[in-house]
Amino acid sequence: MAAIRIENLRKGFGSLEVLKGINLDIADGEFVCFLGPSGCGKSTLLRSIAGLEELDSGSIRLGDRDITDLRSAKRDIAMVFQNYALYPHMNVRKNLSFGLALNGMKRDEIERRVNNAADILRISELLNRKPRQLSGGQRQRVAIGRAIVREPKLFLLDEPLSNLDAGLRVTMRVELAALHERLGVTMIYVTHDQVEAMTLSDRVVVLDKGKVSQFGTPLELFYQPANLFVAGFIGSPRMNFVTANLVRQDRSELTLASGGLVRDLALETLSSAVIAKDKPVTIGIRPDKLELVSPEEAHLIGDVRLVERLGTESHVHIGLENGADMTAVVRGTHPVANRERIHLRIPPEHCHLFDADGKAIARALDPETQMLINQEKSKRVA
Amino acid sequence: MDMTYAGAEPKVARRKRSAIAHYAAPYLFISPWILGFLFFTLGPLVFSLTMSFYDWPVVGERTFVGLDNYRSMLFDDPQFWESLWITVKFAAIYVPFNIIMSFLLALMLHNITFASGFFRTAFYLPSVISGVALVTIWSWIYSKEYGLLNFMLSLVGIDGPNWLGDPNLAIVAIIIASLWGLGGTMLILLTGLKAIPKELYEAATVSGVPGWAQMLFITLPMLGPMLLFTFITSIISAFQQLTIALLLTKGGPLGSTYFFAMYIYDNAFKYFDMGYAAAGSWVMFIIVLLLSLGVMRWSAAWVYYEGEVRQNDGEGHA
Repeated sequence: MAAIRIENLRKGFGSLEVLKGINLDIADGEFVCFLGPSGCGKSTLLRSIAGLEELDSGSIRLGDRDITDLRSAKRDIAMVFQNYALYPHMNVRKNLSFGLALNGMKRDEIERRVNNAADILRISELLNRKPRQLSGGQRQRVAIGRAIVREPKLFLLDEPLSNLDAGLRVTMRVELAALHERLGVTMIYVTHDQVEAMTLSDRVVVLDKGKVSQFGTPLELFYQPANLFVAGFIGSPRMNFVTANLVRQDRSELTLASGGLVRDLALETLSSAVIAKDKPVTIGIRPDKLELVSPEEAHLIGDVRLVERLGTESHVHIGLENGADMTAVVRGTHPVANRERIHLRIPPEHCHLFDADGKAIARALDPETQMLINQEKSKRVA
Repeated sequence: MDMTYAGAEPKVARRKRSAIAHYAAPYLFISPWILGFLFFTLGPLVFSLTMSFYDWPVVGERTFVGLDNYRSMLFDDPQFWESLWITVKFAAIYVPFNIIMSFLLALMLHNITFASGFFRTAFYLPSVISGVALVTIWSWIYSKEYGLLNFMLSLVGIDGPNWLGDPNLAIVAIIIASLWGLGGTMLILLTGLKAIPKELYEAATVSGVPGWAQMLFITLPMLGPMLLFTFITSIISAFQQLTIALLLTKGGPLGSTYFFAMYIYDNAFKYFDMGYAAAGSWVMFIIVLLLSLGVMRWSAAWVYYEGEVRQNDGEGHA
């Protein structure tokens, strides 16, 4: 068993509190990404699990063992570093076997593990080379190999692909996913790249200012963001936000007006809980869901500031009449042009709604999306 | 035809001139250094080599003697061997102590967070003090009657020895005084320590590599080029030891601190035998050169350079 449970973990540096009470339950064999902007505490959290940072409070359990106060080496973990951390004066074989040899492992066993890792990562022909004779991707493989030879219960990967070029990153991403599939070991992966997080993970922990903002499957984060931060962070181009006031509530049916809207917007929520009318709400809409319409159907009016043509699609940057900015994604051949006046409709079925505190107000998803999310969740449980 | 020819000539000349300027400019820029090197380093070097083949009194006629100066120094002059032996003894103790103590100090400064800037400056300060001032301080420290060292020893009930008057202790006193200036070596090693990525240690820690092994298999190999550099410069400075011995003990007592550099100095400026002194200088140069080459060759086994690829390293670039 190598499930990991983190309870009320706190860590600060001087007066700066970096982790503010983290609680997480990661299942055995799960691939979990810590995702968040720079300075959100994701690397500190990973290093705390690795035992490279001393905790202020809280506990970490790996399987049935409390590893909070255990030395790094005793935690049964392996870590892959952002800049590979390969020993430049040792060849690949020595890099892989160094830790094992010093822990008193027998030579035959070391040989078996090194050869096994080399086979898995296809680096057998590189074993006698020094790190400087390797390409970025090969170095990354060796760094992962150093983790594999330890045969740990938990893999920790700290932005392992961030030093690679875009093409290699995609290749290595696929290889990492295959490696996880093959080894079946719990992996925690730190990244600020949401594409990596969304494509690799069973579940993603979105961190914001030292707190867990949401912990869910990739599709859950995208289609059911728990708050404004996650809604804005996941998805590219980022979600558009429009503030509005609630003018009428009839059980779960809401009518929104004013703010950035030029026409009332009627929405339905899953709950009939009363929403305060004196505080503004925020409507979230993904750029690809905005519709360019005639003036009479429009909820929003603005001027085109810039059109970025990417081929299959174009990103239209719009300045609204109330001064707010928006982005719409249209088909690549759409004739929209700079400085053009534009009319946009917000389809109610694709709207996200957030209360004055930024928390999501639950709304129903279309059945197909809901089924996909359920499938993702059930796959994890299985 | 004529007109074309007449018109082309100045163009070619101009191009020629600009080509000369193009190639000459870099040399003109470095010429002050080249001239300085020729007149103040290479010139005297060749001059001293020539001198070493002459009987060259400061006043009087110079006589070509071939290799006589070298022959009599090596075979007829016991003082040469004595001074060389004293220098070798000094180097054998000073060089390892200088490197080990510098390394330990650098390690300590690397690991402390409190007032590290103050300590760095404090340890480096003796390196910038002039040799004469340093000797003045140490002659007071070593003084038998009024010295700081013997005063401190008296506080714990020890009757301090005559540091500079005892033939066995005088060389120890000079070694200690010389080690006072280890700040330069320490700074080089400290820079080297700071350049080692901390992830290497973290990776080792996670892999369960104990601290002593991290020192032995990560820190020392990563510091290899710096250690080699300080090793060679320490050997050179040990063989050049003159100021402290000359001013602190004047080679005494009973010649126990009569270093090889002092032997050369005395031949030149006491006995005014410039040819013999020049031969001594060349013997010293050859000894230091051979030692340095030996260390360089030995270093191939333990010094790793980031940019180096050795034949047995693999198949070349990926």
